[in-house]
Amino acid sequence: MELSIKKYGILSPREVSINSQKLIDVDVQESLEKSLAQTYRNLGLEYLKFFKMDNLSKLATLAAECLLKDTELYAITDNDNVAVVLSNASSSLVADAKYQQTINGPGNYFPSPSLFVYTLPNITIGEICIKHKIYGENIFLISQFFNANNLYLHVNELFEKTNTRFCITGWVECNETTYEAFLMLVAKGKSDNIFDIKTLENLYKNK
Amino acid sequence: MKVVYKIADNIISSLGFTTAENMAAINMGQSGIVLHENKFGIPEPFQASAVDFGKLNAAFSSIAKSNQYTDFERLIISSVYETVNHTDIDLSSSETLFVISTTKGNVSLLDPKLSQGFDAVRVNLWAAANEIATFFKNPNTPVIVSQACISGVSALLAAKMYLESGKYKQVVVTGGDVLSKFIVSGFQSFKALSPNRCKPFDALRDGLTLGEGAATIILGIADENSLSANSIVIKAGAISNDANHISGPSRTGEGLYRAITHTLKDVDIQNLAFINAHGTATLYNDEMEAIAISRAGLEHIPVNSLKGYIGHTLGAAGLIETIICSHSLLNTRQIKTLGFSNLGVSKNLNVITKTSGFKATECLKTASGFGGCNAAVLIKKYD
Repeated sequence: MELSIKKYGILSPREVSINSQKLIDVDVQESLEKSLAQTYRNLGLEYLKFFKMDNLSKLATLAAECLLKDTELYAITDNDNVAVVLSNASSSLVADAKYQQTINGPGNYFPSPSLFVYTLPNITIGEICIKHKIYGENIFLISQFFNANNLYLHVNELFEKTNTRFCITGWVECNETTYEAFLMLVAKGKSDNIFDIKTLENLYKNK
Repeated sequence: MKVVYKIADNIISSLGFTTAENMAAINMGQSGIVLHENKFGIPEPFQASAVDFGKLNAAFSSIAKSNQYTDFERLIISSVYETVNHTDIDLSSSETLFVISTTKGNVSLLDPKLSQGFDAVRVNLWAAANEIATFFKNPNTPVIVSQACISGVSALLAAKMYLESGKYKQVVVTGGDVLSKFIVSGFQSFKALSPNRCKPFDALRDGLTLGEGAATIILGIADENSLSANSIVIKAGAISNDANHISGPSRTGEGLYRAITHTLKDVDIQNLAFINAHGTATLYNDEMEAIAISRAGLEHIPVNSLKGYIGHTLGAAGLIETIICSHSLLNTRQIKTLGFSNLGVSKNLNVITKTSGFKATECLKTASGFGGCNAAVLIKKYD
């Protein structure tokens, strides 16, 4: 099956771009939180749920927004054929550490449900699916490094074996000091970028 | 036609360290759930199904140096080790892949009191997975699935696809989670835990019971005609998202309904012996499942939940429960829903209340979790 990368986007404190073209300006001096909030504003997004999210979900939500903007999938109310396959290295570790702080000692034991819910990496997928009404196949995979081989295998098989017609896939990684998202919109057919392992590796490397 | 089939399996839970021990206890109606007081320094007592780590560590010391591995890693390694003992599979082959399912892995290492002796990096799921793959000398990068409570079923479906692609000859699907202050306090903060043993689908159900454990299923791929009698095949499956809420189940059972209908697309439901639901015994989960099952036209099919025996084992649940279902198909014995007395959902589900026989050969297993994710898998016994 011939699959291609219709669009790819990068979102980091240094760069917000689609297909290597700058999408909006970012101020590299800002803190993590401020930088994400600034990207939200510069995208002209009005989505109050955003402010409840942890940084990893904010990152995934913004990256998906950049990717889906101006595509045929935006504002459709039932995206049953859209799959979401995300990956990263540190799972939800930032949220995990934050939650752990609330249960460390007997004098400091205030477990919070609103913190606990973000201690799962696949919440990012849930947030993207809610925002864009995506009901398709979804999975969150963890790997120490961007695993182009397995991501290619997984996405390719989804197109072969399931009702998938579009797939949002890539890497959403967030730690205490920085973040990076590299998302692609994959679909059947031709475009400048074939969906294969080599292209995946090159796009990720050159980001 | 090529099919993905089960080569061997293992379950480690409060009920035993092998599949046979677990099945024997379940067939006798035993539950491993007991009340824990002052455990992990958690102020409130809680019901849980816990693994006997004293016994596990004693057994582990004959395999490797116990103190080099965390509880989570020992649990998984023990499970894979016992599984592979029943086969002649070469785990060091490049044609063998590890797919590991877990929600929280080594998360207890974040607790300063528990992290002694381990490098801080070990809390990462990939670091634990590398330890496991390295222990078995597997040369491939392990694939880690972390998708809340559907992780186990997701991992099985991923493994099925990887085998069908022809890239691997066998996949070791293993997974687990360990009870910790982190996990128990989190579910307590959600007011999700029952003060009693959980009562799936019951009118008096008031929350879930947590459990811990590990399970392993080694999958292979073969021509349908070459399967021996009593083979278990992973026939179909699907995952869908509710696109509704990150922690609350959909009121229309949307994602689960879609996962079930995609899974049963080419299936004659006459062949369905039973449905093994997620059945956590929270008010909202069980009601959501009843709605999804009813919408899919499966209200009449016998349905059970296994949570009353071993609790909700998180990243292990999908694997443990699929293994139990496969043996239920092989023994042609439906397993009763422990803790259930009177129907407490809005649809007329056919909840299994007594262990009895059947003739059909297929079983639908479902799971749902935080993040709005839902999964279904269809397994079939070949005569």
